[in-house]
Amino acid sequence: MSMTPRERVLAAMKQESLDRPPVAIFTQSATIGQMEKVGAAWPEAHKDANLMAKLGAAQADVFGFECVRAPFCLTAEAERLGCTVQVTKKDASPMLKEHPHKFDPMTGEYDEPNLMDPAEFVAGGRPAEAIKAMEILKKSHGENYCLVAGNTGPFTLTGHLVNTENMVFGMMMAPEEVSKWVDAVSPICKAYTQALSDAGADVIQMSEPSASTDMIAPDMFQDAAGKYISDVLASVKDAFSVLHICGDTAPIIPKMIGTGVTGLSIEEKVNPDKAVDIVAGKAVLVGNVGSVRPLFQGTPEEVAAAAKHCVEAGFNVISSGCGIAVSTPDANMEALVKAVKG
Amino acid sequence: MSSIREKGFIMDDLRISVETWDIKLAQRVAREAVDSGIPLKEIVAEGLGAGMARIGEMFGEGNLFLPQVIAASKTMEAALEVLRPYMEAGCDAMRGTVVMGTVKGDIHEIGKNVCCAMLRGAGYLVVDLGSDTGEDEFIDAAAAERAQIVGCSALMTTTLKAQESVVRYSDEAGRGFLIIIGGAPCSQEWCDQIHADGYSSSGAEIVDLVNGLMEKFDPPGRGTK
Ligand code: B12
Repeated sequence: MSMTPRERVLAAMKQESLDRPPVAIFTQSATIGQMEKVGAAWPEAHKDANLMAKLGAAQADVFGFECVRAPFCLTAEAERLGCTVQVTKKDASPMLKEHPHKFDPMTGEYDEPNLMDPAEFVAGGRPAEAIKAMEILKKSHGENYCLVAGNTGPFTLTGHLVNTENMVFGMMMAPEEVSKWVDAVSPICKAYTQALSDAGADVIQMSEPSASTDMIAPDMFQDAAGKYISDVLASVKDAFSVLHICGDTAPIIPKMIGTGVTGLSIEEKVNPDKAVDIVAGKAVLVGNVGSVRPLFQGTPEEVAAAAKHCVEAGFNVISSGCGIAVSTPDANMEALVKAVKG
Repeated sequence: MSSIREKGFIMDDLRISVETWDIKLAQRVAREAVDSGIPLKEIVAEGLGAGMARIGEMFGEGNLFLPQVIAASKTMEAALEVLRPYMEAGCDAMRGTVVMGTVKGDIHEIGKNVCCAMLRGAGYLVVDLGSDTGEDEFIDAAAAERAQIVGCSALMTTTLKAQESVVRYSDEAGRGFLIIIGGAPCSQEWCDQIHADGYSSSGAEIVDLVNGLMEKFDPPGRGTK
């Protein structure tokens, strides 16, 4: 008797033994190819729940991946909180244009974080569309597929609001001012995470790229991001939690596990065998076929080889290591599915 | 009570201020250095720049992380700000001019800013065009500033192409400068493929790259034609 994709992903999230892992993109999954085939495209699909749901389902409907996933960027929350975001391109992600708050460690001037009430936050803007998209997907695909919702971590979102470079500079000059901001942003991330779950999401994948080792020292991770992730993501009710961080995460994987999340989504900068070794079953591993190489710039053969490497290494869910580049060729998406499903 | 300190101590303090991101110290000692008549070139290259070079080295070795690098760059820039009024008077403090920017469609600036700081520390005049910079802006700024080098940063697979456009447009305009590229998704292969003149994978190496190019400076548009 064969399993539905939904059953397979749920089993993978519980680390039950399987004949093969599911192949399901947990990070940004939309491509131009999908947009053209399903008739839902950026920039509109970033803003409208129906189009968002349609495009979010396209990885399954078009290529046979084993989950559906929305939204497609890390700017919805920032926009809702007052950042100017340019959402105008079909072939490029939205762009943050302006940070609304002053946070200047050079002059010592810091705005107070007077932010929107979490209940109000989830009721409007693009976050509300994403929540609605989950409700739509639950009806259209929920029986056979797991719904993965993507959102932004509190440290990264704080960077959007106050300027990431100044925030990282602030880690050295005024860490208490950084904490004050992340403290204020966290209840919003928490409410949004729970609202996505309540709307039907089975998995919440939170991206916290600004906590990568490219941005902060590994020994800063816990205070800057880890403790907040425990509170806003790992504690989510009625959904599995997955923490996504880019770059070479090897030095912080134990701390990522320490947040208490169900799963980790990591980039191919950590070799799959090494990742499985470090994680040692203490979390579900999602990844880590390279988004740039091989998926975007490589050949289908290279994609298949990388995917098989992840399967053999023991990844629980085979996915891209990071957000899919929007111009990734169809042939490479197909190759990824085929390499795992056979 | 003010007394004149020995030059050696001043130079040490300049270096140390950057290495320990002590902004106040950097500004104070930069002023002191100028007042003591130390040549600007030495203040920048052997004082502040020595500190920045050390930071770059440790970053390259993985012994320092980005927050420390940003703090050190900001410290150096604060000191350079103190020196600025004197620099305009005697531009010979500078080894050459580099125009830097992040390409169109890309707002990632942090790596580019680190590169700017490294180059300033090495004594180059750096004109920073910021992020989301169009091809024409690079070309116009290079002409206006008589830059020898133009550096293009791109952090996304989707914006790599814009580096290629800068090279192409510049060639069409008959460029008199060399183009270097960088940013996480770039590689030497990409640099060769788009006919850029140089690539480095980190801010720690950009100074060597630019020094090397300046030595054999012979841009496509200025060479023998
Ligand atoms: C910080 C960050 C941001 C910050 C940027 C803040 C800022 N003002 O710069 C914010 C939060 C705003 C941001 C936004 C986005 N980001 Co971002 N971001 C990052 C992150 C975490 C770190 C980049 C960084 O600063 N690294 C540290 C610096 C020091 O390193 P560096 O830039 O590589 O620079 C070094 C070298 O490359 C070199 N170098 C750099 N430039 C040059 C130039 C020359 C000439 C030379 C010689 C050398 C050189 O020297 C530098 C010093 O050593 C990366 C992930 C990662 N871990 O790399 C993602 C990443 C780059 N972002 C990504 C994405 C997708 C986005 C968004 C589209 C997200 C969205 N909308 O949902 C937007 C971009 C919008 C846009 N159009 O630009 C992706 C890109 C994926 C891809 N397609 O390739 C990445 C890889 C994350 C990911 N995997 O998803 N991001």
